[in-house]
Amino acid sequence: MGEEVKLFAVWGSPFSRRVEMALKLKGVEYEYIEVDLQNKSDLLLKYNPVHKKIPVLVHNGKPIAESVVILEYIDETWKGFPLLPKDPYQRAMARFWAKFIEEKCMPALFKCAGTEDREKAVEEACELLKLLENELEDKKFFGGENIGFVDIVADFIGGYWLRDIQEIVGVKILTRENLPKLCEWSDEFVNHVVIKENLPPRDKLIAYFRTRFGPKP
Amino acid sequence: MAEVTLLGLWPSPFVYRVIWALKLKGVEYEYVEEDAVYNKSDRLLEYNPVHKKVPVLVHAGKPIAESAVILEYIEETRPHNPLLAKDPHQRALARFWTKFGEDKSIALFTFFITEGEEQVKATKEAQEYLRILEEHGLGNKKFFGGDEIGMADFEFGWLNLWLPVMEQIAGVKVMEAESFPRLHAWIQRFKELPTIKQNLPDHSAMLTYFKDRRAFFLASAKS
Repeated sequence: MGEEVKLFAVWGSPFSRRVEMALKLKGVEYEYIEVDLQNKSDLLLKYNPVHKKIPVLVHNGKPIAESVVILEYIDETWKGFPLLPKDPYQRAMARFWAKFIEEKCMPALFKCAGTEDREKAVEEACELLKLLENELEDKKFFGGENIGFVDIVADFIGGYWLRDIQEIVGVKILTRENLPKLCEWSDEFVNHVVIKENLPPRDKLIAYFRTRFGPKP
Repeated sequence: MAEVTLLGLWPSPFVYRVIWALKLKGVEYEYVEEDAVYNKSDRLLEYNPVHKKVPVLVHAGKPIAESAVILEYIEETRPHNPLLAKDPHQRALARFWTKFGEDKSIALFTFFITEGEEQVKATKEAQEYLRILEEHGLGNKKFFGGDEIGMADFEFGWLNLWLPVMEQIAGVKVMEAESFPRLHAWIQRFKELPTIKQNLPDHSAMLTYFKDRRAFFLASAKS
């Protein structure tokens, strides 16, 4: 499909990185547009009037918002390197776990970085990640032998985001004692040939987290 | 599709989405009522250990939970009377609005489980989301899916019967016809569809059930 693909994104966002990972895995060329969240452009507001957020993928002038929706679109449009499995039941399981990560894990993990009732938040997050680890079982990736839909949606957990935030905030969530299989998976994730080129620069991310979540002087 | 079972709870709009999809596509299934709120069965806990909720679709012994996931599964295994367009961009829009409905569902129901100032605030928030739905989601289309109903219509199908029941019991009008003419017109079209008309819970039973639920929520909030 000869075409114009643009992505409105933010360098440090796990949500827009999901989309970049998918595009890179499938070898899709795209124009990257960095968005200033403090100063949203008219173009972004035109393409995502409902949420006014990134990521937004614009394909031949047509915008799509919400990273998980974008991933499904990408998988349907570009057939190389399928993200979802072929079997309908396996697809349902992938969608179920993607939803679990998005709706349960992500909010719970963000709560851990907050200051309210942190101990309880960490306990809850650990319980949820335990369920995710059980789903992983002994697979290399959630997608099996290779990266798939769920791995990409779990990028916040697998990539450096969670590891670095938990260290800066001073909480223990994803540790080898707590979640050995998930830790192993996250090592595979960050070392994957395509993923490792598509994570935000780690030092820049750490500096950002220190500002945002670090102890105040 | 052989051997399909749906675990449900009769007043649940989430369950009804799945019922409508199965009926629209002519899938034979066995319905099993679960007391998913007060007395979860071992069967439910086995089939949905993560969320312990309904609906759960069990196909050839394999369970699937989460209504949006179930709908996608039914769509893929039974293409007859499709819920999603062929065009990928249209499909993305249907999924976007389905997700909007999922993400905002608590905010949309909160007016029902609150009172006083909290209810006023919750009503306003619900109306903001309904405004977005009216202008951006539905727009000038006949259905969310376009000329035919689709996945997103089922997502918002609860506006048809559940919302007026909840409004009546909670004593507040959230979606006035004058303020939301397009959504109201859509509701009229939606509820006339045979699949929907023939598959709705009993209105007076709903009133009783939801009256008890509101009382329960208000009492829990006080304790």
